[in-house]
Amino acid sequence: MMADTPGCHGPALRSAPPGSPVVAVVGAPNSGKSTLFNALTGSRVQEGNWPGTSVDVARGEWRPGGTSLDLIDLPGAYSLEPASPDEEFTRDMLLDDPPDAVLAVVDASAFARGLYLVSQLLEHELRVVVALTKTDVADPVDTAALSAATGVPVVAVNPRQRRHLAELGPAVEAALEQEPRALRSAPVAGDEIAAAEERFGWIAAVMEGVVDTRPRQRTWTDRLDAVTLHPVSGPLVFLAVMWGVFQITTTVAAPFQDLLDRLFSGPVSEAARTLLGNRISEAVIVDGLIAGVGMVLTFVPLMALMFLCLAVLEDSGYMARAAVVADRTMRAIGLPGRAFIPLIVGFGCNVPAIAATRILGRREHRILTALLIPFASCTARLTVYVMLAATFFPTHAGSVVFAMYLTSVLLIVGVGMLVRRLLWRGFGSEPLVIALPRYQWPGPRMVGRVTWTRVSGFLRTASTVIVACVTVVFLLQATPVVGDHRFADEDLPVADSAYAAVADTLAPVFTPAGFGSGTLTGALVTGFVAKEAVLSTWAQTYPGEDLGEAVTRDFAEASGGHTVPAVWAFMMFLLAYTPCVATLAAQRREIGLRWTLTGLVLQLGVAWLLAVGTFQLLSVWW
Amino acid sequence: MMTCPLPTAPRNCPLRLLAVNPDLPADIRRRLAELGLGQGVEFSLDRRAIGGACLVCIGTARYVIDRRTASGLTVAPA
Repeated sequence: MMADTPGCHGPALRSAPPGSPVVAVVGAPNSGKSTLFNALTGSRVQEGNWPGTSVDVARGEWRPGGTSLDLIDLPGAYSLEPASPDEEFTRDMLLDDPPDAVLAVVDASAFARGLYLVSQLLEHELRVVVALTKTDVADPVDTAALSAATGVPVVAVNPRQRRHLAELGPAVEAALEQEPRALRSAPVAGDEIAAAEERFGWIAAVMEGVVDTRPRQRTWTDRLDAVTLHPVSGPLVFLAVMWGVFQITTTVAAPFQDLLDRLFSGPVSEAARTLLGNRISEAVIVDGLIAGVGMVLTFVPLMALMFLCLAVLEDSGYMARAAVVADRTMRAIGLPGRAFIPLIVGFGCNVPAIAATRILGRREHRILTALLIPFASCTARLTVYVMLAATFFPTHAGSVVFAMYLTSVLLIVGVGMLVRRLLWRGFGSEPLVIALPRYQWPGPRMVGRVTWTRVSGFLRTASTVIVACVTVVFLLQATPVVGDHRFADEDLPVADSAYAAVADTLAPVFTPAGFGSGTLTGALVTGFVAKEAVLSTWAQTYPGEDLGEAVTRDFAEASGGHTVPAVWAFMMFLLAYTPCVATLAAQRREIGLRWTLTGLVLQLGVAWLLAVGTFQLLSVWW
Repeated sequence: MMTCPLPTAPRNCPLRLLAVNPDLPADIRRRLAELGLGQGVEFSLDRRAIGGACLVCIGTARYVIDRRTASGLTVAPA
């Protein structure tokens, strides 16, 4: 496929010096491939789309000894017979423009499966080196015997603890000195299944004397799976884990948030006022940037904890079990269990989640999953829930946030069933065949790296989109449209500004939902750009006031005294409407403009109906 | 030799895969073969999991196969 696909030697995303030998890292999903890549390249990495494609690839420099090697982390693949666009990309990169060497990562705890990809690589003219991972949790493997049986160098490494990595460099350098050649002839069988069986015949012969193939003893992974995959306890564990994640993020983060809040509203603002002195610059810097960005930064501990929890779940091996538990629910909406993975990533951030839909083989599944991801409540929305829950439901904040996430799951299922019924009545669900990695203690280095990558992504958003939003909101709030005030007058009421004129135009739309107030709905406009901007906009709208008291007053006035139903309705709208413009851009890239616009209409329609329904229903009691 | 579909096979004893239902989608039959579940292979059923799915062990690797797909696998005690 893809005649326009650039090969491994393309100039973009290159961090090693030009001319450095290119080494592609390949392996099955969960084989430890990316952990090895990260351990070898350290911080010398560039990540992004491969030119001409929408596949995310990491490329970095690896310096074993004095040589500089250009390492490419290709998407995980079980074989060279692709079942998804990501696997197709990996196959094309290896066969259409072969790299100088291939580092094949084999998970020792799923030995035969890892060797399957190796058996296919050996059928082509490639220089192959095998890196054996997870040897600490697997049965012992005789690497010398494996090397003799396969004809390629084999090095056992532990990238999680950075052990034996130094032995990999000389093996790859030695391989680069050799001429590339095929070490196995391709199966003669005509059909793919017979060919696979023929390869497993070779694998069985290789494994003789290399690994102990006697039946193994029960391990604590078996015992844990008896609980986590059980028809009754499995869903309970799943719910308990998710509830625990939200409790941790809301309760543990609170003292750190208070500390940062006091820092920005106190010493930082005071220092800036002392230095500035000019009214307009003081308004822009202190009331705008410091108040807005400071408010968002107070939520960094909360986001870091959420990302940390997700990284721990991924690295421990529980996420694969969660996919099995969620499979039945996924089937109800016509999606395979694997679609759970992009959806759960969406609870961290919708943008990478939409990119992750590429693991799904069928286009209809990718479109439907990409349409549903915006209903997965991302951490940016979490910041607003936490602020509102702490203000209006201080004794049950954790449970309120959990209820929002539960609603998010129900929305995904409900909207999924609706969309499938309306658009794809014909397509059936995809079978579930999923590999279960062994449970392991999460590696602090790996978890830390993943958490930092995600938090820094959030901080980049904060430093670009939020600063832009804060500036636009400041300009609108400083521009008088009513009365005799001048631009940026200190006593210019927000109600007389251009900001109020824009927000008031939209406000009536939300009157049936109980929050038809310009000050409340204005934040939803900037929230369309990025949810991180909601709180910063409110912080600018109520300068010098306690944010909790100000929004309490506004909700009470806008709802005619039905404050609690209006707050719930606001949170429901926030949950269901468009997450951010970056998500729309990601959708456009993955599923095209037509489906992106369909999704936009769907999000706004569902959000409005949900908010109005919630307010009208709850206001009967409150 | 007594044969049965995988979901009704006895747990924790060696099984041999006798046949894969040709009505299963071709890409799933191929993926099963790539994971080592080819005709004649010896494996075991560890447990029945949520939704009637089957947790199977092939060597040191463990896979979950949904009930419908598992029903398409005919096995016999090895």
